[in-house]
Amino acid sequence: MSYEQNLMKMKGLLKKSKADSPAAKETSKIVQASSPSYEAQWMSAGLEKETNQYGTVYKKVVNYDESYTHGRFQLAELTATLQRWKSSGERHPLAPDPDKKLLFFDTETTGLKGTGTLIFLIGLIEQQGNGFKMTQYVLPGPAHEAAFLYSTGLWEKPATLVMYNGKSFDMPQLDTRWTMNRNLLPPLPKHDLIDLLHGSRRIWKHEMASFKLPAVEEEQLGFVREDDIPGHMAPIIYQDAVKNGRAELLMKILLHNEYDILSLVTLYIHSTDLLLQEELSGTAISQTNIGKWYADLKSEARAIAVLEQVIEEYGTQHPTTHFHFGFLLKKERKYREALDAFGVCMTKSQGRERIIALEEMAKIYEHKVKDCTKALQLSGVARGLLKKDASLTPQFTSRMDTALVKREMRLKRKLFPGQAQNSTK
Amino acid sequence: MSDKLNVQEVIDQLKQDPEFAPNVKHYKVTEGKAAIYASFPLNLHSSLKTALATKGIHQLYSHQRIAFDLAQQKKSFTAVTPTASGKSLCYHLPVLQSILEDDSSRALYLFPTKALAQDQLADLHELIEASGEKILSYTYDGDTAPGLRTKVRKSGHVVLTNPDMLHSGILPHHTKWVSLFENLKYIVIDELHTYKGVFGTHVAHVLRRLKRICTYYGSNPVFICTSATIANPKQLAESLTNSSMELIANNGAPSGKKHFLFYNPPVVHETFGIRRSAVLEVRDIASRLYREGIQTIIFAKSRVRVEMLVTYMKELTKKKLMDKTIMGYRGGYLPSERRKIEKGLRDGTIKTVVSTNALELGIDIGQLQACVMTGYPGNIASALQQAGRAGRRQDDALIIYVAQSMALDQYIIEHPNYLLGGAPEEAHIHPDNIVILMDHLRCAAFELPFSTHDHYAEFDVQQLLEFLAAEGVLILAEDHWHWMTERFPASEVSLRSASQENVVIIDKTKPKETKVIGEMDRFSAMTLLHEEAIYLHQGTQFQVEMLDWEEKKAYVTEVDVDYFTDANLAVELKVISEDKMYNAEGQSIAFGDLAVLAIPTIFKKIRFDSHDNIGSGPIHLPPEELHTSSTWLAFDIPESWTEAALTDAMTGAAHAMQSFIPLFVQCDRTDIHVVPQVKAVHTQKPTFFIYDSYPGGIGLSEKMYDQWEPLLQQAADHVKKCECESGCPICTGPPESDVNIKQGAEQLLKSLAGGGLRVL
Repeated sequence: MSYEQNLMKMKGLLKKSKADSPAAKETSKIVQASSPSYEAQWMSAGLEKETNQYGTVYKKVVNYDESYTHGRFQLAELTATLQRWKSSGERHPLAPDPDKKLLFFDTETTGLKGTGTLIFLIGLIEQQGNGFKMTQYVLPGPAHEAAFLYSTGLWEKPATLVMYNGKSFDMPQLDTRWTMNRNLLPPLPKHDLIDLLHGSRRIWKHEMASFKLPAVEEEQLGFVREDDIPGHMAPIIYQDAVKNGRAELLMKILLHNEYDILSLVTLYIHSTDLLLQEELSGTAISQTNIGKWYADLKSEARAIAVLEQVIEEYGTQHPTTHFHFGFLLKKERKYREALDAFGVCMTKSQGRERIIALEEMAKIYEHKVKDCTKALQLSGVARGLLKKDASLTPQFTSRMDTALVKREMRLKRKLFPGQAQNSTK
Repeated sequence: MSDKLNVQEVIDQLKQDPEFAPNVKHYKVTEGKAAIYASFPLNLHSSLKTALATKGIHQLYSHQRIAFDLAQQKKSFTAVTPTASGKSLCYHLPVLQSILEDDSSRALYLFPTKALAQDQLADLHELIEASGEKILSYTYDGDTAPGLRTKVRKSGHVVLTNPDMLHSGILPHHTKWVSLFENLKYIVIDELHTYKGVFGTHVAHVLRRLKRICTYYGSNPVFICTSATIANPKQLAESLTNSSMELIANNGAPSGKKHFLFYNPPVVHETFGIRRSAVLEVRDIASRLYREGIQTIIFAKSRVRVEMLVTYMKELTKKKLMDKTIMGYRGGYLPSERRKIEKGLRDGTIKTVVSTNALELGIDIGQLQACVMTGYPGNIASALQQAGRAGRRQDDALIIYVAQSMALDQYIIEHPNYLLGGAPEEAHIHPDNIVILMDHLRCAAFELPFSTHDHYAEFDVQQLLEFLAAEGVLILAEDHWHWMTERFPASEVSLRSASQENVVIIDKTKPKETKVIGEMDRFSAMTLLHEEAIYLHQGTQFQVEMLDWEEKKAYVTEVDVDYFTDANLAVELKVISEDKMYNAEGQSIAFGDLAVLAIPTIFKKIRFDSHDNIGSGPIHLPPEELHTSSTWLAFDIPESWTEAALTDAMTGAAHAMQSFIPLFVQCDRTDIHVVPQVKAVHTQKPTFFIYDSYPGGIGLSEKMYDQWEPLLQQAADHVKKCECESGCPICTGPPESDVNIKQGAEQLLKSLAGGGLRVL
C-alpha cells in the first residue's frame, strides 16, 4: 500500500497546464554530451576513451595472435573455413559473401524489447591478417548513444554479421536504436546476417536439449566458461555502473561478451566443418539433420551424398536417415529404391515416422507400381498402428486417419469397381 | 403470406389481448423523420464516387457531408450517429480521399474490440474494392500472422486495431512504425461512448502517448470520433483525445416511426414484490412475433440468458428439419459463424435472433422489424442502440421493453420518458487519476525519454518524473529522463481490469479442464469469493474451494445447494482530506480523499425462500486498504429516532441510493459504493459516504458531490412507489428480521432530499 499512499501525496503535486504543451520533436542538432562523472572510475577499470563528432564512447580492444585457442579450436582455422565455403559454391544460410567484411557480433542490452531498451555494449571480432582483433564499445550513459553507435562503424558499408540469435534479437534492437538516432546518424546499411542459433538447431536437433550458447560450447566446442556472469544479470550491472560509477562488475560483462564472440568464431568453424567435410565426422543424428537441411535447401545432390554416407556407416541402425532418404529418392523418381528406404522405416521406425513411411509406400504402390492390393494392405497396417499408438498427437491421428480412410475407399473402388462401397459418413 | 400481420396490426392485436394488455404500462410512439441529403463534395475523388455508385449511393446524408468538409479543413470532430445511420462513411471518405491524394498517407482506426475491427475491415475492403484502387488495409492485433506484421507496419495505409494493442504492441515499438507515424493523417475512434470509466481513462492516456509519438515523428493527425447518443459526446471526445473537437449532432439519416411498449411482468410474490421472470415473458412475446412472421431481435444481458432463450425459442421449430430461422448471437461464437448469422439477418432467412449487447455495436445486420429487450441494459445509450436495431426505413418498428424485478428496471417502467426524453447519461473519464496517470507516465517514459522541460499532455510531470527516478526506474542524464531498468512497463498495465490486481475465478469442476470464468476486484472478492462462499455465475452456483490471496486466484466447483452466503465486512472509513464542502440546513456535504479499510469478519449461510440462517464461519483474510475519492453527507440526528431505527433506515436508504447512481453517471453498480455510518469518526454525525471503488478515484463521487439532492429524491420516490410491504431487494434491500425498514428509509430519504429534517 505504501506505493499507493505515496501516490496520493503526489496528487497534490500534479499540475496541469491548459493547453496541450508540445512534446519534444526529434532533434537533428548534435549536442555533445559531456563526459560522465564516473569517467575516471571506468577508465581505471580498463576502458579506453574515444571521442567522435557526437561525443564520447569507451572501448576495450584485444588482439589475439594466430595460435590463440578457444576450446578445441584455434581461431586461425577460420581461414580454412572461409576457403571451404568459397570452393563449395553452396548458397547456404551459413555461407558468407566473400566480397564483404566478416564480423562476429554480439550485444548486451538493458532489457528485452521496446524503445526503452538500450544497447550498452557492442562487441565485434574481425580477422586481421593472421590474427584477430576484438573491439568492445561501451555506452558511457544514455545521453551518449549517437557517439556510441557511430563509433562501431557499422554505418560505413554492408558487412556480414555472424551472430547467435541475432536475427530476432540483436539486429531488431540495433535497428530500433538506430531509428531513435536517425536524424543524427548516417543510415544503417542492410547487413548480411548469419545466425548460428538457427544453424545449431538444424545440426543438433534431437541431439541437444538446450541451445543456450554455454550448452553448445560445452557439448560441441570443448569450452567451459570460468568466472562467467550470466547474461541476464547484465541490465542490473549496467544500471549500477551508470548510477554509482562502479565498473568492476561491468568488466565481467565485457568478459562474458568476449566469451560469446570467441565462441561465435569457433562455432562457425565447427559448423562449417560438419557441413562441408568430405569424411563423415558427426553422429548419425547430426549428419542426418545436415542431409535433411540440404534437402530443404533444394541442394539434393549434396543431401543424397550425405545421407548415403550415413547409411554406409550405420546401416539400418538409424532409420530416420532412411526416412529422409526415401523422400529424396521419390523426388528423383527412383521408386523401387524409395520403397526400400521406407521399408526400413516400416520395420525399424517408431510412431509418426513409421506411419508416414507406410503411407508413402502405399502412395507409391498405388500410383507408380500400380499394385492396389499391396497399397491397401499397407494403408491398413498404418491405420492399425494409428489406433494403437497413444503417443501421437490427436491432430496427427485424426488428419492421418481421414487421409488413410479416403485412400482405402479409392483403392477399393479401383479394386472392386461397381460394387457397393462403404459410405464416408 | 397473406395471413401474416404487419407491425401495426400486431400492435393492435397486442393491445386488445386481455392477457397482454394489462401488463403494458405505457405505450409511446416516436415519429419518424425523413432523410436530409447533401451532394457529393466537389473534390471527392472520382474513384470514391464510383465506389459509392456501386453501392447505390448517389448523394450523402447531411452529416456525412459535414464530416467530410470538417476533415478537409483539418478539424477534429465527433459525429453522433445512431444505429444504421451510415456512420462509417463519416471516416472512410476523408481517409480514403487523403490516401488517393497522397499515397504516403496513413490512418489508424481504433475499435474497442478485436472482433469489431475485423468486422469493419470487411466493410472497408468492400468500399476499396468498389473503388478499383490499390489501398492496403489490415487489422493489427494478436491474431495478425507474424509474417504479415512487417508488411502492415511498413505499407498498410489503414491499420485497424484496438487500444490494448496500441498500448502494448505498437507504441512501445514505435521505431518499427516510422512510416505510419510520420504520415499519420487521421486517427479514427469508433464507438467513442464505450470509452468511459476506468477503461476510458486508460485509453485517454494511451491516446496522449500516441499523440506524443506523432509529435516526435512530426505528424499532427486529425481525430474523427463516432459515438452513440450520450449527453456529452463533445466533452468526452475532448477529454479522451486532449484535443478540441467540432460536434456533428444533426444526423441526416432517415428513421421510421417507432412504437415503444413498456411491459411489466405480473407480480407473483406480493411480500417481496417479485415479478414473473422476464425471460419467460420475453419467450412468450417473441414466440408470438415469430408466429406472426415479424423479424425480431431479442436482447438479453448475459450469454447464459441468450442460450436459455434460444433453447426456449427453438421449441417452435423443432418439428422442422434443419431450421435456421432462430439463432443466438453472442461473443464466443466463431467469426465465420457470426458472418453467417449477419448475412441471414440481412437477407431475411433468419427470423429471430437472440443477442447479448454484442449487436449493440456497429455490426451491419440491416434493420429488423421488432426489438425485445430483456431488462434495462444499464444506461440509456445502450437502450437506444438496442432499440435502433428495429425500424426499416419506411416501416414502423416495434420495441418492447420487458422489465425485470430490479430497481432500475422498475424505475424505467414508471418513467418511460426518462428513456425516451432525449436526455441520456453523461459518460465520464478521469485522466487526473494519479494511479492510472503514473502507469502511463512510465509507459510514455519508456517510449521516449522526457526532457527536463517537457510536459506530458496537459500535465506538468517533472515532480512525478523525479519520483520515478527515486523509485529507480528512470535516471537523469544531461537534460533527459531515461528509462533504466529491464522492465517493460506496458505489460504491467492492463487497460481492462478495474484494479491492477483482480482475483481470477477458476472453475475446476472438471479437473482436466480448469478454466477461468471471470474476475473480480479485490474488494468485492473479500465478501464474495472467501472460502466456502457460494458464488453465482450466470445463474450457476459455484462453491469457492480455495482462495489463494497471494496469487489472487479463487478456485471454484459447481454445486447445487439451496442456500446462499452473505459475508460481513467491517469497513473503517478515514477521511484523509476535505477538499470541498458546503452546508445546507441541518446537513453538510463534502468531497475529498478517503482511506477505506475493509476487514471481512464472518459469513452466514442463508436458505433460499425462508432466509433462515443455517450456519456460519469466520473469514481469514488480511484487511484491504483503498485510497480513493469520496463525497459524504452528514446530518443531525433527527429527534425521536432511536439509534437502532436510524441504523435500519440508513441501511435501507443506502441500498436504494446505490441502485440509482447509474442514473447520474455512466458506471457499473460496482464502480461506486454507498456506505452509511450512524456516527462517522470524521463528522461525529450520521453520515452517508459515496466513494469510488478504484484506487485514486475515477471522478464518479466528485460528480455525485453536486447531485445529492436529486439522488435522494430519486431514491425516496422509488422506495415509496415500490409495491412491497416492508422493504425488498428492489428498493431497500431484504429486511433482516421482521422490521419494516421501508418506512424508515423512505422518511429519511424524503426529509434529506427536502434539505433538512424539519419535516419529521
